[in-house]
Amino acid sequence: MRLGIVGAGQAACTLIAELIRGDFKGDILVFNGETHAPYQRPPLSKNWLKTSDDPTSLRLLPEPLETHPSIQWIQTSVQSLSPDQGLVTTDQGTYSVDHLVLATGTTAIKPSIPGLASESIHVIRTLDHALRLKKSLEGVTNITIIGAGFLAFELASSLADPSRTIRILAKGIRALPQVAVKTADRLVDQAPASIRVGVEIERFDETTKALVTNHGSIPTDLVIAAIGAQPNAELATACGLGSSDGIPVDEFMQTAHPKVSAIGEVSLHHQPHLNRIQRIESISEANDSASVCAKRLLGHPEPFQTIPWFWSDQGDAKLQIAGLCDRTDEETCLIESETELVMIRHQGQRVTAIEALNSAKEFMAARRLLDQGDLALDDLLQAGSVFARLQSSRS
Amino acid sequence: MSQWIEISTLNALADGAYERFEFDDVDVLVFREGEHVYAIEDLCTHDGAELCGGLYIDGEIECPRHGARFCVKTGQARSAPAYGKVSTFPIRIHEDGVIELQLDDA
Ligand SMILES: Cc1cc2nc3c(=O)[nH]c(=O)nc-3n(C[C@H](O)[C@H](O)[C@H](O)COP(=O)(O)OP(=O)(O)OC[C@H]3O[C@@H](n4cnc5c(N)ncnc54)[C@H](O)[C@@H]3O)c2cc1C
Ligand code: FES
Repeated sequence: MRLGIVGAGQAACTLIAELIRGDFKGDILVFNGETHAPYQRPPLSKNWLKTSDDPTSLRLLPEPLETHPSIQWIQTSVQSLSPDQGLVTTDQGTYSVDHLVLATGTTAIKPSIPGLASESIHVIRTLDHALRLKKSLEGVTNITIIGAGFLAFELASSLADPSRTIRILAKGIRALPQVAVKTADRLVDQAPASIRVGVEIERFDETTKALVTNHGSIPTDLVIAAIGAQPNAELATACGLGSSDGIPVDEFMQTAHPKVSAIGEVSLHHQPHLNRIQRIESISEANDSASVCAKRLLGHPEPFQTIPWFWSDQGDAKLQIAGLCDRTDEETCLIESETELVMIRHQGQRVTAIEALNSAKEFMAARRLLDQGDLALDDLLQAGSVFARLQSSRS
Repeated sequence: MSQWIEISTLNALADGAYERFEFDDVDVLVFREGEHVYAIEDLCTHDGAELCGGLYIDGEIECPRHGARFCVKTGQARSAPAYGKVSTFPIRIHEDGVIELQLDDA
């Protein structure tokens, strides 16, 4: 079998690793639309941004996998697909494949700000974006980050410097709406940035070098937008297999076309934990969907059933979330100390997620318990910690 | 061939658990599974975190940072985001239960 993979990010690399580990009998053509060898994205907004200039430290695949003889790396973007014929067209030529996996990820959204050229607005999605941001920092004293999610707070922590003032502007009524109010409060309190919510940006004033907003003028030398991303689904959409919402797939990561699969954050599928169809942008989604696809291609299909999880490092604050909840889910505090915080998110008795700040043991136990099945709020409260609850379930 | 270093005894290691041993250039986790003992480097191949503190269940240790799982017997990465193997170290157990470790990577 000749397999084509479009994209060489997290999901593509996990698919490659699992296929090779599973002794895949066939050739793998990987179309990498970026000029760099596969690299890790999460460090781009975290420690790497603060401390490193060396892209090789971000390498995603170890040597034996990157240079495995069954893989052919094709360093170019795919321009179009013909699924019926199994054809992949690039500016370097047209390639014939038996099956195609789309792992094209997302593109950062840039806001339109009158008075500010789009090129002047930074985003962080790729290594080139991060390298460009690093180069632009010289002499910058006022950084404005638009958006108030994890990425904005990670960037603020990584860019913090006594010579800079960092401001985070949120359109919504609160920062970090993805997490419990108590978790968000902790992170906001320790963020090296001032945070304003309910901000509408009108324009950029070149003379005063400020963003003009409903909260007055915000001095700004450099703007970074961290307002989300949109799926790279154009190739699939052109074949009738996708839309601006992503690429719909079944629980085996198969699109409506038998020769095409989609994985990673571009894929749109039923999330058993949430019991609804949702696209998720996280490393866990990239890895888990890739594993499901690999198993199917290796001939022992298993449906997607894993529990989502997420991490975010904001300076010294290490947040890990097991499960995924709706923003309206209730919140109950399980553990609170000067350094640690463990919040239970739940719908009545049903625990939907555990947010663990600087508490990896609680997070790991939460992942195991959620994997095992339903978790009840009272059981956790009675045990006093998620780890204690895991131990009692195993004894 | 490097020397064998006495590190513990079978009785001193709890079954189904692990202990950390620090040496000059390397930190090692030593796992006991019944009569078997395994040793791996305490360094996750994903992003260099310590594996110590990770859950050890069913022969696998989970990295506390981003959840990669490693087989403690072979060092193989069993789940992303790690793909590379962690270093393993030879272990020998004497009849009297004394456990020795050799710091050469197997
Ligand atoms: C700065 C940053 C920090 C993050 N931090 C975290 C974190 O802490 N925790 C977490 O869980 N997640 C984090 N994420 C999210 C996580 O990195 C992504 O969810 C994950 O990388 C998605 O994997 P993917 O393979 O679906 O897409 P990607 O890794 O984005 O890979 C897609 C690849 O496909 C390529 N491509 C697209 N179109 C084409 C084409 N036509 N031809 C060829 N190639 C193409 C793209 O160029 C890209 O290289 C972060 C993301 C960013 C950007
Ligand atoms: S450092 Fe171990 S999984 Fe990331």
